[in-house]
This record gives sequence, C-alpha cells and structure tokens, in this order.
Amino acid sequence: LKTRLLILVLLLLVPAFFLLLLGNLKRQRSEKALAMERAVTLAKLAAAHESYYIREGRQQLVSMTQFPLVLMQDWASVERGLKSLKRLQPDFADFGLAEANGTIFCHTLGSNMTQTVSSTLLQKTLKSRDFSAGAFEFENALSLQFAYPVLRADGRLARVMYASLKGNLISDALTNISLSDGGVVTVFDAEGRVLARRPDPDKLVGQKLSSSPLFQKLTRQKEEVFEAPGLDGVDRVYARSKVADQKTPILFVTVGIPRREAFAEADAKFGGNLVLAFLSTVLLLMAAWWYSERIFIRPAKAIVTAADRIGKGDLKARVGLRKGKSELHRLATGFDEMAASLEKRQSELEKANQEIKSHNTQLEKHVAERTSELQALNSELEAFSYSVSHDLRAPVRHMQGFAKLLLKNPKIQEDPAMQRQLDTIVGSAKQMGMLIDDLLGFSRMGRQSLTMGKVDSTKTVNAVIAEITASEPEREIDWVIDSLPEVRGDAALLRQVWTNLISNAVKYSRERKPAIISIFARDEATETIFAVRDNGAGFDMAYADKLFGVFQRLHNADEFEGTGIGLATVRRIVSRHEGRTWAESKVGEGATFYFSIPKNTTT
Amino acid sequence: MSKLKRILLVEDSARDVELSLAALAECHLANEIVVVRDGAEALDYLFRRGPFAERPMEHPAVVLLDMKMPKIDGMEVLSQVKSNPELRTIPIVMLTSSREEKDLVESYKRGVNAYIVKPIDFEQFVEAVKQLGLFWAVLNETPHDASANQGL
Repeated sequence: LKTRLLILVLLLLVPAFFLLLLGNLKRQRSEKALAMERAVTLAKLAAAHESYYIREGRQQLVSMTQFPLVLMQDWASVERGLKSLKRLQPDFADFGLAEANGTIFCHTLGSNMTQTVSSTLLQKTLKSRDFSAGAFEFENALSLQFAYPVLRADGRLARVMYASLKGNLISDALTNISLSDGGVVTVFDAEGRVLARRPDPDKLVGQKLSSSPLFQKLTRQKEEVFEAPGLDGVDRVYARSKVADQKTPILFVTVGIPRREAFAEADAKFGGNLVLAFLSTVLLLMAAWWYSERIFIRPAKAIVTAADRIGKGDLKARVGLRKGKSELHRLATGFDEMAASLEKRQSELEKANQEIKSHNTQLEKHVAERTSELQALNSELEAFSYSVSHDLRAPVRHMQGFAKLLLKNPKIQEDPAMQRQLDTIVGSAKQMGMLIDDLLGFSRMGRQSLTMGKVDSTKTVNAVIAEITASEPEREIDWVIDSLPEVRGDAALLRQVWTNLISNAVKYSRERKPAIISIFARDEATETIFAVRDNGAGFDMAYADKLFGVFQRLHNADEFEGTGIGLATVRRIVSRHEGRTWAESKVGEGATFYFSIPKNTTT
Repeated sequence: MSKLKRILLVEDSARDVELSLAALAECHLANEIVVVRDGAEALDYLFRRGPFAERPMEHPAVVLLDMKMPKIDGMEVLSQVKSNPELRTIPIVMLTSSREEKDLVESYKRGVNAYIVKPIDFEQFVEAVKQLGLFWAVLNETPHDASANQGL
C-alpha cells in the first residue's frame, strides 16, 4: 500500500518535471535568439568598420590611377610622387606600381625591399582588370592590400597600382566592438587567412585557416547565424557578415558567443528550479510516507494483527484505534464491535456447552439407571412368561386330561348330556391352551432378535398358501397372485406375517363361493408395500384402529373363531422391521390388509 | 431279557402323575413304574441314597423327568446323572409344560435323550408316551459297558 502510494506521488510529479523542462527549453531558446541577434548586430557593426577602410582604399586607388604619374617611365619621379602620396595618406603603409608582366616597377619602401605585394593579388587584378583586395604579410606585419589596373588612353592595360593598408587598422576597427565574456570576433580574408582577431590576436593573426570548421561553415552557410566550434575549439554561436566589393567577398567578419554564456542564465534558472523540484519531491515522498503510515498502514496493520489473533482463537484481541471518521477507522471500530460480540457469543456458547455437558452427564446417569431398571424388568418379564408357560398350561392340561379320562368311562358313555358337557370342558381347555400359546408367542416376538436376510416373498406366499389349503381342502378359492419383490427381513417372522394375513383372508371369506383372494405388491422409493385382499365379511372402518390390538376382535367367536392375536402379531413383526400396517374395508365387501417393509433397512 | 426294567417317573404334580400313569396304562406297558415327587428324591433313588439305599442294583430302563420341580429341578438332575460315569447311560426323557426353546437347547446340551412338550390334548399325550415307552422301555437296550457313550 505504501509503495503504491509513493508511486502515485511520483507519477503526479512527472508532469511537473516535464513542465519545468519545457519552460527551460523555451527560455533557452529565447535566450539563444537574443544572443544570436546580438552576435549578428556585432558582426554587422564590425563589418561596417572594415568596409570603411576598403571603400577608402578603393577610392584612393581609383582616383590615383587617373593621374599621369602612374604611367611615367621615370622611376625617380614616380617614387617621389608615391612617397608624397603615402605622406598624405597615413592609413597606408605603402603604395606601388607593377608592370603588366607582374614585375614590380616602383614602391615606397626602399630598394632593399623587393616583394612588397602579393603576387596572387597582382595576377588576380591583371586577369580581372578590376579592383581586388587581399591580405599580405611583409615586414612581419599583416596588411590588407588593394590593387587596381592602370589603363592607357586606348584602354590597354599598362600597369597595376596597389596600396597596403596598415595591418593594425583592421584590428583597430574591432576595438569598438564590445564583446561579452568568452566572446570572439575574427576577420578572415577570402582565402581564409586570419586578418584580425579579438581576443588573442598574436596566436592566430596571419595564419591561413581555410580548412578550419569555422571558415568552412562561414563560407558555405547561407544563414547569418550558426553554431560551430571556434578556432580555439570552444563551441560558440556565430554571426557572420560579409564585406564585399561588387559581390566579390573580400572579408568575412564573425562574432562568436559561447554557448554556455548564451544559456548560462536559463541554465542557472533551470538548475535552481531542478533543485527546488527535487527538494519538493523528497518532501512530498516523506509526507506521503508519513501520511500513509499514519492514516493507512498503521490502522490496517492493527486490523490485520487483530484479525490474525482472532483467527487463531484469541477472541480478546481488539484493533484499539481511537474513533475516527475515515473508512479505516470505521472499519476498525466495526471490527472491534464484531470481535466483542463474537467474544460474547463464544462465552455464551461455552456456558451453554457447559450446561449441555452437565445435562448430558445427568442424562447418561438417568439412562444408565433406566437401562438397569429395564434390564431388571425384562428379566422379570422373562421369568414371568416362563412360569406362565409352565404353570398356566398345567391346570389347563389337567382339566382337559381328566375330562378325556371321564369320557372314556363307560358310565358316562351311556349319558349323552354328560358327554356333551365334558366335550365343552375339553373344547374350552383347548381354546385356553391356544390363547396361552399365542400370548407367549406374541410376547416372545417383542424380545427375540431379528435374523435379517433376503426373503423371497413369492416363495414364502406360495408355501403358506399350500399349507393353509392343505388343512381345508374342501374350500373353493380363486387365488390372484402378483409377482412379489424380494425384501430384506427375518424370513421366519415374515412367514408368520403372511400366514396370519392369508389365513385371516381365508377365514373371513368362507361364506363366499368362490372366495377371491388377491395378493399384490407395490414398489415405492423407500419401501415395498404388500397387500392381501379378500371378498369376505369385511369390517366397519370406524373400528379400523382397533384391528391390530391384542385380543381386539371385530367379530364374535360364534361367527369366526380366533384368539384376537394374529393381527397384533403382524403389526409387531412389521414394526420391528420398521414398516407400517393398515387396512381398508367395507362391511360385506371384503377387506384389504397392507404392510410395508422399508428398503435398505439396517436392523 | 427275562424281566422288564422299571421306569422312573419324576413328577411333583399329583395330577400329572395320575395322567401320566393313565397314559402309560393305556399303552399297556408291563414295566414297573417307580414314582418320585421331586429332584432330590430322584437323585437319592438313582444314586441309591437315603430311603433308596437298599433298592435293587438295577438301573431304570428310562427316566421320565419333569423339568419344573421344587428343590432340585429336572435340569439339575439331568446334569448330575449325565456327569456320572456309571449313570450316564440311563436314557432320560425330559417332560415339560413349557414351549421355551432355551430349555430345549439347554437340555440337549446337558445330554438329554429326548424332549417332550406335554400337549394340552390328552390323546396326544398318550400317543407321545406310547412312542416313548415302546422305544426306551422295551426295544432299547442300554449297554452294560459303562464306558459306552450312548448318552452323549
């Protein structure tokens, strides 16, 4: 977060820097323009000074060549005349005349001086028959020489007159030019010879520097202003001015201002701005650092630490920031509130858990007590049913046994009334025995554990039907039996269920001819439903809930015999399979008994 | 075999004794029937103790033993007889009113030779006793060799 914030600040500073640079560039450009303008002015000024001497030299020569003196053959007279001319013209160091073949005829410097004029200049004038100018060095001084043809009356070239301007005049012409620090002014002739220079004239004046970059640019550049390395190797902005005679350049004047000077002010300003910008950047970054630390990082860190501690289960952890309006402060406050409610919940939960635990312990104690009570009760019940099966059956057996013995007595065999009464005793005893057996069987059913396995319902039903019809072969029954699915259960107990239901159906339909008994099944998602339907006596649905109770009978014993325990047994077996039992009927129209066995039963 | 062995009937109920004797009589069995009224008496008889110390040496052909009796019950008598090397060859038929399956299983574990649930119907009882009497009292000969494992 902090890094991002700092990057953001830096990004904001980029345009500021850009503007600063642009401003500097603009200022540089205007400063440069200003410097150039000044250089051009100076160059023009210098050129004007130089051209004055050239104009003067030309005028002198042009007027001089009109005098007859210049055509005279008398050497002494000519020398005298030239010398008096020189006295009149103090700016010139020498005047002379050369023959048309290039040899010097006469000059003012005495007989021991022979070469007093540049031969190049002479040749040039002879060839062009016009004014020429050029630098020439003699007597260890550089001078600017001018030459003009001397023509006869018929226009033939007779001689060339020349004049040598004093070298110091050219330099002197530059003294009026005020140069700033590092500035230079240089005067070249057309051949690239340095005629004058300020400052340091001694080093360079007289040297021919036509191949120097400055002179190259000077002669070729069309613009008056250009940048070039100077003769001393310093980069400058140069302004150039030409001094020409009828378009033939004679002198080149250049004024150079060093670049560093030209931009010094702008650079100084720029440097100042740069330092300012840098300082403000550092300050801004520090402020951003401090601000982010204080406003974002510290609270965020506090929240993260608190969240970590809570995550590790220390619900007492809090962010602990003072309240504030910023999102982070509000988050922190919200967080603390959440942590507080969490802690409260936790303690409540622990308390509740403690309570549950103590309740559980209590409950377990109760359960253990109940279990032992139940076990005691169960064993008592077992002992009870054991003794019932022994002791209750014995007197019944005795009644029946002795009644039977009496029936064998010849005296009683003579009395039919007595025989009938004894038969009743025997029958009742038999009924009592059946009741006892059924009751014991029923009570055993509740305790006996189930032996689970796959039970083939169709096979079981067929076996039960075979058994029942064998004991009542005279009955006329139409059996309608669907294919019945396999179920999971206790085979012996389920056979008991089928036996009870089918024998009931047979019993209650004995008035019908033919009796119709249908057995079918329905496969549901979680259970299999079986049904046994008869077209017999049926029952009133108002008593449907009594059907499955022990000893509950809806018909009296004279109508249909039975102990009233068959359907109770069915319900008990089906319940132990976690299934359901129910029945539908209408009096006189038969009844349907249903039971269901759940699928995937684990018991 | 010149003389038929005795049958020992162990039964606490006088009525049952009477009915049993009637049933045995109906079967026309010629064996002498000794009746004792509880388990202690039965053991005294079999081990020739107390009042029966002077009885003849011969073992009964079969013992008809009621399960539920006061003092010492049929199961205890069965255990003692079957764990005695000399007496274990005597066939013992358990007679009981109970249909409890665990009694039946327990009896066979202890070496009973037959197990009969006394039927309510007298006729059936007679029939059962007839079968039993014929098999054990008349036809079946117990080996005199005491080491024979007939009882197990």
